[in-house]
Amino acid sequence: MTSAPAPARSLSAFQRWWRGLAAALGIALIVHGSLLGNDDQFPFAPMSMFAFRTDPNGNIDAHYLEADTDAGTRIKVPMSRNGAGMGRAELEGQLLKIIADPALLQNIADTQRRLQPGLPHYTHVYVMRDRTVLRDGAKDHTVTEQLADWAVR
Amino acid sequence: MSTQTSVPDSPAGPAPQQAAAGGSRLGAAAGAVRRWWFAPVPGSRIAWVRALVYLFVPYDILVITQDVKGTAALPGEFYQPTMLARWLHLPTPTPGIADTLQWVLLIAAPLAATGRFHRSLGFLVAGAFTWWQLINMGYGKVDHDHFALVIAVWVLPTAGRARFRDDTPSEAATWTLRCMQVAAISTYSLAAWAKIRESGWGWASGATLLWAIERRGTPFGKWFLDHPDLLRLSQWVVFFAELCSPAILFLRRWWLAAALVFWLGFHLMTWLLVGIHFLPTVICLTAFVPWEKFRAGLGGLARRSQAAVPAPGR
Repeated sequence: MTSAPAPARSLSAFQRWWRGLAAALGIALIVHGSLLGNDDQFPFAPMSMFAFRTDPNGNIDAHYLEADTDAGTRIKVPMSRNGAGMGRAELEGQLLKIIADPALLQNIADTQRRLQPGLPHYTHVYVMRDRTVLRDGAKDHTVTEQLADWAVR
Repeated sequence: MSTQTSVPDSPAGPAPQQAAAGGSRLGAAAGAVRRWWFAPVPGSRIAWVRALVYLFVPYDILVITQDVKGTAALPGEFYQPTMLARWLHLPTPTPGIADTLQWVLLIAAPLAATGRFHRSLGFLVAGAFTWWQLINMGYGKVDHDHFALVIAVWVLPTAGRARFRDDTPSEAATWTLRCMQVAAISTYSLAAWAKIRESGWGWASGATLLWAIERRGTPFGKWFLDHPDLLRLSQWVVFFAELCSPAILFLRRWWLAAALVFWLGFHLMTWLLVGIHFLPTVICLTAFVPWEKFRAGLGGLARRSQAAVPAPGR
């Protein structure tokens, strides 16, 4: 190691040219994704987590799954890879599909059976919703409802 | 758009002598852009950032995005591939694919962190990590905390050889670090735009933070449910900071440090309130840090304490 500063490692014109082009293309893609695009364009998708506005006098919905088990208990299905094989956000992303066709819930039970062979199995799966009603930006009260259910085969 | 079509598009060359006043202004602007992207910085920064990013990858796939293994076990009907996955004809995820990607990343990323075979290992990690993320985002929910990290793994292999103790200035290093900086800052500034696009200018006056805390708040976060005005004020601060974030790309020294500390504080707060930490973006903020100065500072401290032993009395 010498203490004298070494000359800079430079790039050739071509190396600069493609880097400049790549950067311009990347910026164009992410700006386009944000201006006009949607989630489908990941990784160049809009930065839209929490971009929605919650009405201070509206509702806050939280969806989750419950299940009757062959051990005779009713449990909240853990929303992770070890429970439903999907998180709550994934459940909510697929909610309309599941409500229209509750038979899809069979998959949840099958996945649980495969992932947790040692635990009690699901006999009936329910899609539940907790709706918190807001007033002037503060919590007022909460209502719990069942949106769909499926008797596991 | 412009009438000055005679200005040659040569990023590397000096501004042409014969250009008119407007042209030379354009040339000066082009020079400034070129310097911003390529003015050489110590190559050791790449060694630091490379080690941090590649050591973060195993943590990411084992902890943050571990659900990929479970979702890959779901039946194919649940898979909603995003555009890039369809375009590349990636197969519907299976446990075998997820396991393979995980093992490739668990072996290749720590090796790449050492800087050996930086190009081949780097691109292997980039491909496998991007695929992993395409599976992660392929089940109905797309997050934006991984955008900067996906960019980082693709630009790091282009930065060339780098060592912790070699401060030789490098133009390739500058470009790589700038790409990571732009990606991280885009995550903030375009988040402000997404709020305007989706909710209009009234986003900050809504109850979105309350929504997040009600649904997934920590015990600490739940305490704020009784203070909705504080939550609304926080929304204004965050929205304003996101709008102003591009300025960080041009800050230096203490101003830059202050801005980075602000964003670290922001991520710490969202983690404490709702358990969302954005570490994949935070790790890319390391591209702003002049790492060689820390080493110089530590070295200087060590020398001074050594010198203090034989001559303690000034």
